[in-house]
Amino acid sequence: MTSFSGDLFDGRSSQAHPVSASLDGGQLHLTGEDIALVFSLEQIDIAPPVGAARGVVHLPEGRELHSIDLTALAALSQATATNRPERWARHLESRLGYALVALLVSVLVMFAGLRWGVPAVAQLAAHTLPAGLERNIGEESLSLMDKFSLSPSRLPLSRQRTLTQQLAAQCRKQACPPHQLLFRNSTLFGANAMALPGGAIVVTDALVGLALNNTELIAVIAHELGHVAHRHSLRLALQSIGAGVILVAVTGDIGSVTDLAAGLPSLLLQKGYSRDMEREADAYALAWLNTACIPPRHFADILGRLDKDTTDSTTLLDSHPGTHQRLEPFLVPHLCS
Amino acid sequence: MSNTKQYPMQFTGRGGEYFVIWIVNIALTLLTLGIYSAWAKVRTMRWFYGHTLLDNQTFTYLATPMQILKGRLIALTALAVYYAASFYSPMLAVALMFIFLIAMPWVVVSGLRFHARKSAYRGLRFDFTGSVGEAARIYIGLSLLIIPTLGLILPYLAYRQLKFIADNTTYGQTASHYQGTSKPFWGVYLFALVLMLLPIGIIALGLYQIAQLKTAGMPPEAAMAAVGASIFGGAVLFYLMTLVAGAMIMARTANLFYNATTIGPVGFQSSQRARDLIWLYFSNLVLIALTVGIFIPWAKVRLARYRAGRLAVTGPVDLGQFAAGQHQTSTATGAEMADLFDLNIGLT
Repeated sequence: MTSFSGDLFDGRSSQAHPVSASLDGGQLHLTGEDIALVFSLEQIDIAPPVGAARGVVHLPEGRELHSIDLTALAALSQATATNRPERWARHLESRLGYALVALLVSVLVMFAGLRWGVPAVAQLAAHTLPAGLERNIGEESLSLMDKFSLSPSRLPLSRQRTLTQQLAAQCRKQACPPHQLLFRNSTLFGANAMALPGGAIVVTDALVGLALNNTELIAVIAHELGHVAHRHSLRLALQSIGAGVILVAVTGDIGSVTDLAAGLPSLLLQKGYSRDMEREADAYALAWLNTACIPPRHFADILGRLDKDTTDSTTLLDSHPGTHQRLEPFLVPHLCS
Repeated sequence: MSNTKQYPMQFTGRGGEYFVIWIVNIALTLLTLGIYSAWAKVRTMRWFYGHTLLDNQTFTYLATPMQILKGRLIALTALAVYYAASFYSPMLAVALMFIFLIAMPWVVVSGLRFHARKSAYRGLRFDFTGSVGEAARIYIGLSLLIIPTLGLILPYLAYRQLKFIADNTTYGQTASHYQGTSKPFWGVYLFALVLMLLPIGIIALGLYQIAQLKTAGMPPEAAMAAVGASIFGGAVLFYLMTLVAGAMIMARTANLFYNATTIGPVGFQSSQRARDLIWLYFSNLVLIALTVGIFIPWAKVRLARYRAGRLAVTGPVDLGQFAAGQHQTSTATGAEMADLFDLNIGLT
């Protein structure tokens, strides 16, 4: 027999009635001054206790029984079969060991979700979204960049035309994703090449200036074609949305002071994501160059020079694991019939 | 004559206790792909309510997880439909946006009513009696004036939103009243504006000086670096000022809300101080960042404890004389019918 004391509220006024409660013969008895109530266990509903917060038993006709005696309430809760999932949670919350396991599980699930789940979903989404939409996003970001960080190219038109024709000639021999080669000048980006959503490839004047010959530039463009073929820009945008959704779901509120704290890891994640994408683009470029009978070494040559030349923080190499390791496959003598 | 008494509001929860609940909630939410979040919300609310004491009695949270889940699923579906529409047909998205805007006052009112009806103290439920029409006037009518008035209407809008709640809440059958005016809100928001203009002014001054130096023969690379540093410094300051202004607005409006509200014979005294809240927000932010989020439960408890500690209630010596309202005394079927339409459409 469990017995405990508490306050009864009748649901009609805010008056507290001190009562003593006891569980006896499958019934809950409440006795106090002018009070003698009996309820069967089917009539009562125990709000599963949370932490050390005061417990509440809901009784018929809006009555409430409040009690601080959580062990007695737990016993009462055992006797009734209500609220199963929460009794489970209560069990997990009862020991620090379980909490640490929960912490570990949370970290692992979050890590796995951000590392593999989000990229997988983003890849799927990037390939189901209509191409027109991707082009729109690309045009939008190009016009923004044209306004703020890019200026018209100062390269002679003949040089631009030669490069465009050389690329077109290669793309007649092997499959290239739909693309558009653009030349721009930029002090902000320095020597760089970028693939935008929808297939626009922007090559900066400084990169052209760094190249010893057009073949080196074609090799860099092959790498950018890899980004276009895999729809990397769109995936990156989708991934940052996905990562944001997960972080908000965990920290629980949008626009709170935790924003900054949550922003830092997502910044690191972005770097990790783009690293994977660089590897994919490299693999694409290697295969493409081999098919085109262009020695892949050209790619390694220009990137090696870029690495030494780097004074700016945003370059092709920025988000890369060791350049050496990355360029090794390009140094293997190529086979071309 | 002393038949009134002051009751301090107390918060008795501890950070360590909440941490365990919080982390189990997160783990189960992740493992169930978000479904458990409804149960997590109910447990969290029950914990915070069950630790909030007034006259040695706690508050009670009455919502069931299924009700929360239903509201979240509706909100999520609406969001998903809107996103899908904006990808495939911008026109349809605009039409949906318009529908959402029209439905918004109703969503706001039903959310406020849900929250009030699921909150109880001493066995009596709160209720919210604000009308959809007034919500439309405030949330659509006044909000539409933000752009044409260049934001000057914001303090008045904040006042009306607050008054909408403080004037339309009932405890049992006792209705609340709000006696405050919009005047103090102008001061609060003007102060916030000054705080926000500070970093912008500093950036502008920095850029102006750099431009001066450049004409005086500063090398372009050095000028670029100086511009970068000035903008970066300004952005950091801007972020800090957002925090400061936000905390200031929170503290001041909380005081304006409580101190002018009465529920029958009951009045409130809230004495939050902007500098305390700024310090709490700032130290919480730093500790959350340093602990990669682990500190979040302690941060929330610190805020709850501060807010409760700064709030007191003045009321009759016996708080047991309030009577239940219509909503609670209606028949069981009536209550169930009302429960069916009680919705909190939203993700929070």
